Amino acid sequence: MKKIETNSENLKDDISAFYDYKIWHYITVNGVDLGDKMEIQYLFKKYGNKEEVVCYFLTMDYEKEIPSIVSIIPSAYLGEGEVVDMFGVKIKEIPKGLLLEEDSCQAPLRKAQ
Amino acid sequence: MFEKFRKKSPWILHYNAGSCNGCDIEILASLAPKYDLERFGIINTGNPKQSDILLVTGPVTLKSRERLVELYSQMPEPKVVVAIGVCTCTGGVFRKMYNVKAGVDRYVPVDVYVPGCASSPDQIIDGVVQALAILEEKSKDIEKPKRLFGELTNNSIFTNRREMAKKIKHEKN
Amino acid sequence: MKKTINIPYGSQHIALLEPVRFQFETQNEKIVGVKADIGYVHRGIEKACTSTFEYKQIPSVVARVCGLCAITHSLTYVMAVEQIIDVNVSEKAKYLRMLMVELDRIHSHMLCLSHTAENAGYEALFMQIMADREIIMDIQEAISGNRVQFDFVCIGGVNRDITDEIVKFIIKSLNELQPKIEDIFDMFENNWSLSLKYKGIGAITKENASIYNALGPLARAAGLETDVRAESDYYPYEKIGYKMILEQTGDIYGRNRVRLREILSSIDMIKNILCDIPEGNIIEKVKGKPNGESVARLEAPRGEIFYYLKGVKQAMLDRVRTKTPTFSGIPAMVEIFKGQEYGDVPAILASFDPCMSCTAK
Repeated sequence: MKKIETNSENLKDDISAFYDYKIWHYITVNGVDLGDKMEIQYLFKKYGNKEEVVCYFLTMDYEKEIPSIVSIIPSAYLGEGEVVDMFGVKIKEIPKGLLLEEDSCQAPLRKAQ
Repeated sequence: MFEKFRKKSPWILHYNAGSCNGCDIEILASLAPKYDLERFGIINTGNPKQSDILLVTGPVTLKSRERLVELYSQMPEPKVVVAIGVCTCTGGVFRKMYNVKAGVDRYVPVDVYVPGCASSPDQIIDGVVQALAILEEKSKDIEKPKRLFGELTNNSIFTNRREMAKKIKHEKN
Repeated sequence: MKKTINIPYGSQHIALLEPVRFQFETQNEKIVGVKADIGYVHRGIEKACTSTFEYKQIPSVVARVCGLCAITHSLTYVMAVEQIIDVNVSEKAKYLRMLMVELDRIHSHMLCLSHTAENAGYEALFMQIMADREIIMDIQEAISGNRVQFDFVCIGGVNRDITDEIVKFIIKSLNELQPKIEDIFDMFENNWSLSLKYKGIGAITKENASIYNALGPLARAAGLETDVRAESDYYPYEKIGYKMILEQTGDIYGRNRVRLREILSSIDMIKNILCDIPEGNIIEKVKGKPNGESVARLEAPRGEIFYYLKGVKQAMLDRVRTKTPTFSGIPAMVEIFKGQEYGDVPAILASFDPCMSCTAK
């Protein structure tokens, strides 16, 4: 896995400069809890090619809000919705409640609970 | 008349309350020619108001619990519930996960438990046949002349509402 | 602006195997908007993998994400773990794993085809395909001891060896199955009433398929070349005669053709696998605790399965992320529904072969 670091200000510019739907297959958005902050990963793979997976990642505080990449990759709303539900982080224009009910455990994958 | 037909052609309703599909495809396989559950006159229907047997698979997830109870309450009496698969009976491997409660019998009364992960078609057929016997017993119970056997006590027969309110109040005290 | 009507579809419906709810916004008969509600099967397996179970137990836990593609889930997880604890799997175990994955693909595709036929109003064809599918189920039972949830793979190899008798039995059964599949192929190709329901319905262009990241048969039916079997060299798929199967139409008819041709090519591949299974151990000893990050991908019957793992030198993993094919397929499905007639919804939905247990985990 090839990792490239970015941050929440440059995220949209970096991804839109990098992503071309004819070449890159968007895999998913992934969240990892590092203990005191979050790491959000955006994973891509080239079509018809045996190169390794490319991963853009950014680290963020729990309370901060990051932009959504739905305007660049229209199918990303599911992956981002899942991260929002599982970790209770904020992503712009992505609502809660894709998987969880109101009375189920909120942000179940967060460590500090 | 109805009793006879009900026993000879019970309709089943299948609801997946969060299972892994393993038991669901085994239910389909048991309806298919090799095992042929349909030889008992059974037909798989999607309409709760016309079904007699409810097949439930899966440890009931929080989101599907309301639908399960709703489906159960829409089915006409007499009705039988068959829990298929070990996660439906006790929670199985999903027990203690945050979005499930252990087992389907916390929400609806279950008559037949079919174990297995995934339950093989033989087990499912056995479970449904047992459910048929229970269905017959239940329908007989409904049609029993209760007043004759003295099972209807005086307490539950009222001629008007005022009397009823009085008596029930009295019982509560 | 005409008035639109909202029609809910699911979560319990005769044409649905699994709970998913679609909210269709229709104008007369035409669908203009779709909303999908997928969370009915969410159980919380990712959390349990990092809090309840140790990493050696997880192959059987993730198999319960989905019963249809159980083997691919546990196999992808195992592949990811093997990268971070340095186990070298023998060639024989790799061949046995490939064998089970291809068998799983055949029976899953057959289930989907039968379901599509039923939803086009062809009950007899449903019964016929389900009856033929039992041949594969018998093979799986002979190899692994269970029909559906066989915990066949484990970290370091596979759990059961294959004997000469079983090899003979598999080849005999596959020879029996092949003409039957060809018959079904002929039916799907030439039957007049089926083609009315299938040709030109639920189509997606290659452009849209790659914009919305379609996967598996859904994408290959539209001509998009995406198949993990060709995009990784973990398993020797070229040696056993793998060919990518593509169609250009993108409609239900095309998807059915992709599935049928994949079944036939999987049968050929299984025969090749059985011919040259190498000698060796089936299981290696596993030592150590996982440390570091790894990803693994595999082609499940419905498309790409993806696992991300993070270990911190403990028996419990730090993070397990599962990305399943239907989860990434939903945006493309929603796109296809727009502009279709409401009456075609069951047939279109069955042709996607959606797997909701995978989607919500």
